[in-house]
Amino acid sequence: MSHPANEVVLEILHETTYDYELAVSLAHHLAYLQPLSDAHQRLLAHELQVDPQPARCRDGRDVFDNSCCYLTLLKPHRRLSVIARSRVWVAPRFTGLEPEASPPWEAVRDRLRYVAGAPFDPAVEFVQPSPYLPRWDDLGDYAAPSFPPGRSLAAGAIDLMQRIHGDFRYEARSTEVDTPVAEAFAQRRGVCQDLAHVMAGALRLLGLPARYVSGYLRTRSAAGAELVGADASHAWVQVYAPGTPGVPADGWLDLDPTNDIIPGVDHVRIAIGRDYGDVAPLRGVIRGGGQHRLTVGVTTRLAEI
Amino acid sequence: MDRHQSNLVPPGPLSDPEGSASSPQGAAPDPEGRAGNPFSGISAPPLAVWDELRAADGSLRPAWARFAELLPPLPPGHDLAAELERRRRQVEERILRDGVTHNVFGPEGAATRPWSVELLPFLIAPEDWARIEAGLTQRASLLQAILADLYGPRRLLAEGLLPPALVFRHPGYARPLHGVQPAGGRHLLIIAFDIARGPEGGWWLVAQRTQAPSGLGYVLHNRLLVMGQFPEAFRELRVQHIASSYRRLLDAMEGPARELAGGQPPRLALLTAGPYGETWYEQAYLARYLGLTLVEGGDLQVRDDRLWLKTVEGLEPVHGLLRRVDDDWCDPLELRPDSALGVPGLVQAFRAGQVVMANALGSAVLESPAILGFLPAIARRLLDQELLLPALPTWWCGEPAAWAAVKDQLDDKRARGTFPQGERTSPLLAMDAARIAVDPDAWTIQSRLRLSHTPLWEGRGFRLRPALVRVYAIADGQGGWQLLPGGMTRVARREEASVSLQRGGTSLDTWVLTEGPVDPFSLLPGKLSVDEVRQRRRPLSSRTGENLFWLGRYTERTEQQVRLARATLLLIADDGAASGPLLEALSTLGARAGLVRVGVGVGVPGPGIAPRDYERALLRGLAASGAEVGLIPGIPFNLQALERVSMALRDRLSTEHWSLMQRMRVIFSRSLMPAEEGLPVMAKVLPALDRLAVQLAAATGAQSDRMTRDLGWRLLILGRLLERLVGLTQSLEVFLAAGAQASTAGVSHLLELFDSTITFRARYQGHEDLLALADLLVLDDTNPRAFAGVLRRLRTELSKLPGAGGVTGSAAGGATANAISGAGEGGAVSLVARLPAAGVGITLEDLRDVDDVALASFLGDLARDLNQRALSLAEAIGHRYFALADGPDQVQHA
Repeated sequence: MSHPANEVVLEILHETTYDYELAVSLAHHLAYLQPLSDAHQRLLAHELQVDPQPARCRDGRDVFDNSCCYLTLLKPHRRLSVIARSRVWVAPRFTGLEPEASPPWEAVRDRLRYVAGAPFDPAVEFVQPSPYLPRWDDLGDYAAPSFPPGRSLAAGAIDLMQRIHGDFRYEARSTEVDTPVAEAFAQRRGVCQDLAHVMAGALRLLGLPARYVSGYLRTRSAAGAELVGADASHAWVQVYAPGTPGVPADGWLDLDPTNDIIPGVDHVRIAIGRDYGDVAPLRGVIRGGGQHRLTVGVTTRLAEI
Repeated sequence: MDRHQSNLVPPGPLSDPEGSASSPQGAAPDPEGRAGNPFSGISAPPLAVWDELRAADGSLRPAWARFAELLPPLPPGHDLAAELERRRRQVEERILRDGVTHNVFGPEGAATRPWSVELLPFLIAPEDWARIEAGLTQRASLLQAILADLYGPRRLLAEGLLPPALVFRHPGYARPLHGVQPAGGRHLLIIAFDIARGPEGGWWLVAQRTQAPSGLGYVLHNRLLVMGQFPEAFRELRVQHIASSYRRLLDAMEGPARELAGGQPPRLALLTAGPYGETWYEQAYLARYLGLTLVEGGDLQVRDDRLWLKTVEGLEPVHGLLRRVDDDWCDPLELRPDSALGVPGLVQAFRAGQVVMANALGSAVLESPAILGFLPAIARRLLDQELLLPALPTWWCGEPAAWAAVKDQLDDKRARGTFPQGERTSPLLAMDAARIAVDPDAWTIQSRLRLSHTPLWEGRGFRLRPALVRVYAIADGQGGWQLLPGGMTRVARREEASVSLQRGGTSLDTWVLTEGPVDPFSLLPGKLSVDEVRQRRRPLSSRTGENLFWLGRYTERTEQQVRLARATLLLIADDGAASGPLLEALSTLGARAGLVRVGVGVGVPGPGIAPRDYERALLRGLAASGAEVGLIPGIPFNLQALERVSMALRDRLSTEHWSLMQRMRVIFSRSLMPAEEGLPVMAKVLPALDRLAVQLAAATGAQSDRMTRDLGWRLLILGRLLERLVGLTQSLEVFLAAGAQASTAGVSHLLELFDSTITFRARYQGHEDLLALADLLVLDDTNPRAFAGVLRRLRTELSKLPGAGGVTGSAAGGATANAISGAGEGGAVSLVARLPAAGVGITLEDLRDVDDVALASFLGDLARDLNQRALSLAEAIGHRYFALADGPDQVQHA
């Protein structure tokens, strides 16, 4: 778990194609394809290419301050192609991380419990169950061994990440995007999205805030290792560990259970939400279309400078 | 009044197993034994329950005393019990006749149940109403202020006045609308409050409905029914009228909507979940009363952030929605993706301020019972006021202090789910504190209220029952609120049972008495402007157009099948008369129509080989029920289809017509009973078919004479004509192919199927030539059932369709119509051009010197050709006006 200190510039090509059996007469899509910008990641260039040309294409910001784009297609079409090209500068987000110096997990949990008139911490939104992560007590039982009384929060969360990585088999296409977390949990296998859901759901049942991160992963890490999940868009988790040395002031610590790593400069964040449903890369409602075939391709690599 | 006395007293207290334990007093003696109190025999309410009828000393409360005095004089020889029972039956019959229903969902699936209204109203005295009004308008203002804060600065969260979990975990909190100001500025235009009176006589708020409150339609209908039973009392008690409240709701929407419509009269619609929703009837009723177009999500589209209704004439803008679809189901793109009820993009239109909604998306978050406990402090913060009308004491278990305070005293309380998709309300508290402790946020504890009891007439006597009153606050144009002076009172049929219509409760009209003048307003006051008049011609949504088209088709198809079934049964019964070809023709038609199940696996031999077996198969088809109905497209199938299609047309058809369409299936299947060996007896079948034929004739009569000749009617008639052409061409073709027209019996049956017997016999007097048949059944355009007659009317009606005379896909409405009609479906052929230009394409003259063999073959080809044209024309109408090809919306994720 070492982090190359060097910042990098990554280039991402994200292609999504729908082929429809019948003509689609009217379509509304919502795209979360534009990487975010903050102190540790900066979007240098971004281009969204949609074919056929949408009647309307409008940028927006959601309640979590993610960038999104509304696309409306009014002409009949049998194929939709959405290509996102991004160029992103990435710097390590966690330097000098000391997980064991994180506060005890119960302290964070208790601080978020409602007391009349007490101050409001927005992180509390990410303790609540959400559409893809309904409350499911088995997840809490699963998480419990990582959080004995008094355990420091970040250390417990990293332990949970390692256990999920060990217990679950990553299997491309083993689940659908709407596979309930319970099913992935029971089968002990899934794609990165499922592993992220399992981990976020488990943390929430203990009363700890956890967010879902949609992003990209370099196909070959800076350290030279093959990473899993780079051929499509990737997903991981953030746990709320305020006051942990090495975690930025916002308190959110990224953890990638699919690869058992703390994301450094190989991960690019696109959008952050409660679960997959908040930040799905491309969701849409179409009229017509019949059956469809979906092709997604993602390439993330070091920019040639 | 003496005459009321003797028969009013029921023989004794009615036995009430549930109620006896809680009514230790049993029947109360007539307190004063005075004459003139028709309620004198009624039992006392259970201990510690407020009696709406009587004061503590047993005397009637003033409103009820007046009501009793105003009961109408009885005709000689009648007693009051009989009179009240007569009126109760009148109400009941009226409900059945109007088809007022309530769809109920149980373990066995959905069932439609007649709406239940009590004969007696619930009375609210002026001083009580004043308190209720002050308390609830204050609460309405507070709720609006809370939503404005939640979707805006969130001060209530920041200051710890509202627990974040109640917002962030509630599925009705619409994240995509954070920071969005609704068009018109207000989130709430209508709120329903459920209130009840406690043991001390004070009123309590029990629950509030903020997103899509139901009941306004039932309130109207209840008023209509009950008012008519007690006209004197209604007038003399000065019961407040309710019509202006409905006008106010329209005004509240129309104000901001008019701005969106550029100052023109706006188009408002009622968004429904469809005919299978719980309160479909009342939604259709309300839409008709308010003059709103009734639409389902699939009827609407969002383009350029604006909302459009797909009508048979193209896209029409919609500026406001009174919605009866829950928040999270309204837009599958940004809210619940599994919703098939919503409109993709509606959130965008709402965000852009291009649609007024009653109520705004995201209002449901206030429906959590847990909110009630936090309102007093919030009222102090936002309004600097104390709440005037208390809510039931409520503890949200997610607040550790509240849970600790209440967890050892659960016995006299009830637990409710904090969130709608959480666990069900446990009806009576046998609560397990440990279960709550697992996920305390999801639970809310509420004190139980012993509801006040109000009198009901229950057939043999009066009974007191616990009542819950739903009242409605409606926004006015000045930013304030007014209560609709009335409401819907619901009572449990049993003591202690929960007051829920889903659980078999019943409803009361609610009379708010006033000491001042009664507002005489009716919903259609003053003069309408030309624009308003135009506006009231509601556009025809494509869905409604399609349903009307199919109403015409199914009605005609059923008529044809009844005729065919009748003819076939008679022929089989009359053993000697049947010639081979005729039997063959009828059985071919029967098989095509799905009257009998022939073919794979069933193997019914033709009627010529085994007439009894064939007859049994036919009877089995007629008596099909349940799942069998879907297997063969015979009469029961068509009657079911008529029932379904007309259900969706509740707001378009006259009550008599609608009610007939709804009942025909049941009447037909009942009239086939009793059955032997599962089959109806022949003696029942023919009369049943005859009765059905009469009903169908009445239905077509209603369609022909009593409907406005608008576009909807035209589509219905086109459906009927096309179906007629399909059926008649098929009949002739099959008869000719079998040679069945060669016998007298064959000619008779053919004429029967064309309903042309009398004219033929009068015109040709004994001749049965094929040429004569060709003249009357094919060429004569004055015969409404000849091909030429049907074609003539088809051409007339088709030419009146918007854009039908022109080129498909580019007519009516230019670009928008073009966009919705799909890419060139139907090619560049106009609809009329799909038919022969005149007549059937030939004249009698063309048949000179043609022998019978050639004539039969020629007519057969003509029939086949017209049959194909009719089918393809029906399909083209579908593509052009209903866009059947698109199907439902699909959600996809990548």
